[in-house]
Amino acid sequence: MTDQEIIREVKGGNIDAYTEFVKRHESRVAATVYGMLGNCAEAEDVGQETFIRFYKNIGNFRGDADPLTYLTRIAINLSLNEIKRRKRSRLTSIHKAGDEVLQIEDTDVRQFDDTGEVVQNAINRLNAKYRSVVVLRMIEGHTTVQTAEILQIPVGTVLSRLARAQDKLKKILQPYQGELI
Amino acid sequence: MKGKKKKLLYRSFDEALTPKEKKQLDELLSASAELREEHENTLRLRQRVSEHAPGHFKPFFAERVTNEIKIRQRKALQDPFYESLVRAFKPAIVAATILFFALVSYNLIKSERISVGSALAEPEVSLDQALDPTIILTME
Repeated sequence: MTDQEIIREVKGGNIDAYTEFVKRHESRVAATVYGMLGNCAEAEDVGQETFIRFYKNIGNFRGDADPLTYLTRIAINLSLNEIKRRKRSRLTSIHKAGDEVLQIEDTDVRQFDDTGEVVQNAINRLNAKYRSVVVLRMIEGHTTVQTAEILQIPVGTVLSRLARAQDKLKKILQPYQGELI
Repeated sequence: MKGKKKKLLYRSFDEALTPKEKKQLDELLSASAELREEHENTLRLRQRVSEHAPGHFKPFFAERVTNEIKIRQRKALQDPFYESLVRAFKPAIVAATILFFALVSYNLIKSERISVGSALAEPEVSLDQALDPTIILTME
């Protein structure tokens, strides 16, 4: 069964067909959400909400479009909302507990033993707009054009954000020079 | 390192360069050890990041999503009357609230006195008007 056939089934009221659709795309959505938010409890909620939003709008989905592009766009937008929500609650915490919370974000990558943790922490330290291009282009392997389409920005912007993100990542991972990078 | 060279180098990872640009980059790379090092660093960084698997959802994720959709659909069906009532009257309630506050503000500005009476544009009553005339007669 192709994606389009499943979508047609779901549009016809067969909700159980949607389980198959979710199974097919959950790993890609997980990569986007975890890449954007890091390994946290909220990531799964954001992933779930991504598929629920897609389901709600399935009636408007055009048959010729790639559902993964839409799913990824929803996942990125919801992750950006979550990052904003975290920022707001962090600001509240700073008011309550001084500067203690800021130190979490500026954690030195040298304290992590696992390579994956080091890389994820470095990605987490990027500004959200740079993080999204790194996740889509460098982790998920979307082309530059697809990345631009998902984020609804020009290709030139994707390229400049990628360049700045790489510079920043190199700086963050400097302590691992020769070892990791 | 000059910005133009670096920009070209970075672009080579994300876009197909024209034959002219490719030749230019090859020449730059063979001429500059610094650019070659930058190329190596970028290549290693991108390899590291692309190998990174950020995470995956817990087992039975798809089933949980479908269940959640069913729960939400059931909830929406349970309260259709209440929801349609809210949907129908919400704009009217909002408009009435705005109108009420606008009228109160207008009345307060007009009367130049802050009181419940002036906010509701009640006519000002003198003491004589307020007292019942029959009581006044009895008192006399």
